[in-house]
Amino acid sequence: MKVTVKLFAYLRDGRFKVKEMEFEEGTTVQKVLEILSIPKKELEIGIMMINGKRTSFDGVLREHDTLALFPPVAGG
Amino acid sequence: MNDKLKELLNDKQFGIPFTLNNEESIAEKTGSSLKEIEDVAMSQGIVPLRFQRNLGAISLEEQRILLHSKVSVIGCGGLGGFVIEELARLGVGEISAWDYDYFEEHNLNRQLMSETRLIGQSKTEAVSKRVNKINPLVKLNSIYREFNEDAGKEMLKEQQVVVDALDNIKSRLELSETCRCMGIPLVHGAVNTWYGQVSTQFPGENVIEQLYEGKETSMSGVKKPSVLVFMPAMVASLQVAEVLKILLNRGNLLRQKIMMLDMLSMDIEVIDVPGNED
Repeated sequence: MKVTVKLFAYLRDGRFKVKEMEFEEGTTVQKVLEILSIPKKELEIGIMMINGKRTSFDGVLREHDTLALFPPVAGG
Repeated sequence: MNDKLKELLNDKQFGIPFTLNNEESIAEKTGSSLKEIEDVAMSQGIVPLRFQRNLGAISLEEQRILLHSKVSVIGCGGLGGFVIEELARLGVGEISAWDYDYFEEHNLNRQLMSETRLIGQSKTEAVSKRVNKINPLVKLNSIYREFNEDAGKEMLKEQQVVVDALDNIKSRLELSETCRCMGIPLVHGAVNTWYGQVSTQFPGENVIEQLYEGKETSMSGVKKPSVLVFMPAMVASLQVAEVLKILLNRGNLLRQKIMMLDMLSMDIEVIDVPGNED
């Protein structure tokens, strides 16, 4: 299935801003993080959204979903 | 007192342009404060030359509202320095600047108020001196203490807007809760490397909690606090634009939204963050 993955802030470093990716049915957010080599730690304290709604590591992706990942930005 | 001031201000010698020197000479004659003089002048339709180029974008009535506005800026580092500079130049009458830190050499890459000769000096003191040079009418309250809920409840009374220019999650969450309890709008900004974010939270909203809640001790393992100077400059400017609109009740705000800035890709995106259902 096709899923659009959008990365924000420093998650883009060495990866991409937005990319249409192919995953197996039933893929979870956590699995996507593993595929993209994003340390879980960076998202434990960030925001994860599927189609604009908050989700968790266990969130399941469906065909044509958009997954957006925001790491924490907290410097001043 | 106001009648005498009005009379003096009607005198043609204080016509256009109405300069700071004019204001000072009236202060000498009348014993009135510069703020009183400027207030009466604006009420009479007289434009202080310092703010001539604000007008058009905002009205003289709005400029006068700013003179009577009170804004607190929590943190005088990268974000706070630029925020305070801009608030003072806009003409905000009372600014409370919070910080309990002093300048270190590694601040020089991005903190507007830092100077080589100020290393080791308190940030709030430097801010106070600089603001006085930019706009001597600003009442600048230097608050040399760490922000926490108790300090906030004591010191944020009567504030119309609070600016979150902090650098850690724990204090940001405490500030958010304090502002919510006290019914004060909060303008959030944060930066890291080439990236930044801005959001405005009104009482009853919880964007800050959505961003950070439960995570206050988890920043270890996250990117180093590297920041390039244009990030605090940009994010602070966006925060000040939000503050101005709140004070003047104009325009559109980033409420229940986060503006994400990426200066490496030159990409700015606004994301909806609806409130929690509870």
